[in-house]
Amino acid sequence: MTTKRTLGIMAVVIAGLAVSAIVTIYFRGQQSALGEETGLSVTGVELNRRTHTLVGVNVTSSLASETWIRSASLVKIQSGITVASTSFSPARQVSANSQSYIPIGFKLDPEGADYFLYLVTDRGTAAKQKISYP
Amino acid sequence: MIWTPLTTIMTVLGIFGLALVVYASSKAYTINRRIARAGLEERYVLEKNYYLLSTVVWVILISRIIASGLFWATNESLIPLIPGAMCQFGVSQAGSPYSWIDTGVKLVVIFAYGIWLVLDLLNRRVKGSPLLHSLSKIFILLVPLLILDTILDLAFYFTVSPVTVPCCREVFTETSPVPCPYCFVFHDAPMFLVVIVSYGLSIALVLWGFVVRHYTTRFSEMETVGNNAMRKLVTFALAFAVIGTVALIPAIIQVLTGGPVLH
Repeated sequence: MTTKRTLGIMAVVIAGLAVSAIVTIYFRGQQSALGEETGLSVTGVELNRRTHTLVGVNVTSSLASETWIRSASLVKIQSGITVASTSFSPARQVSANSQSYIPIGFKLDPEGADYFLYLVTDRGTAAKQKISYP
Repeated sequence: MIWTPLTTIMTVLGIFGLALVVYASSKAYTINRRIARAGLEERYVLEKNYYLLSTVVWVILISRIIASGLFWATNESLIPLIPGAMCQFGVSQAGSPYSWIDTGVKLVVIFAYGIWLVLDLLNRRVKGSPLLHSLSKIFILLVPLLILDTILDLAFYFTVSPVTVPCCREVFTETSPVPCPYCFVFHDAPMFLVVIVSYGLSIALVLWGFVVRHYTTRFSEMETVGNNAMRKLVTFALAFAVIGTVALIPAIIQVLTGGPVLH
């Protein structure tokens, strides 16, 4: 009886660790599978250092046609975790060969950290920008 | 040293623990040396001494287990007081090298201290205290670990000062294959703390169960109490393993939610 329970415990712990590893590998694979948008670049970042907030970003498009930004995500580099994300409804328009301001409003770690900001477009690609705070 | 309520408690626990270890180790040494050759009368005196020792050791080990938990809370509370520190990695940098060794020690002490506590509980339930000699010996074996544990705490908290430190962003960059464990567990995915603690306790309980089995087979008078204890330990271990696995679901959801691919 005791041996069976011990084997049960080992099975539960090993299964838990295996699930964690599989999910992590799957998640990282999905993240890297997102194509990078080279026609969009983040040219300005507005930070509020009093409230530790990423207020918004300026996006410059070098694309020949307009594009729409559907969502934004903030991934903390040190932990590899998406600490904030938002969907834009309606999606934010970035006209061809122009600059647009995208309001974000993500809280940042007051102690500081490095982040990747992803701006996901309707083309299934994402503009990526590294942000170091403070 | 940075004096805060938590660092003060850690310092007091360290000094208090060290003083009691010195006192108890000499008692344990005397019992261990005499018990094998003791006559009936001397054995009775040694048993009485052992009960005093046992109480002191309980106080020492429980205070050290509390200190092991407080260690993480204290380090977390020091982050805003150390310029450049973003997580406990920065605090450990400020208290290097003692902090790193102390962290390693803190991760294993519960396994070792628990062995003595579980065996002593059994010993109290069996007539004739068959584990008296073994428990004195195990405590003597634990003394170097206890001294290391307490001295490292004192050395770490006396060393740590508000100096500017490079934190984890210097080590854990976008090219790092693994995340900063402190940022990951303590700041961004705290549900993993429940998973780690539950799995850790589950493994510790299984380990203590194996130790109980070892002594149950050696001392026939312990069979009933030992088997009963083993069943309880394994049941608790299974419960913690289940809690850990259940907590894993929200922990994974916490990591996955809001990823750029989900939109």
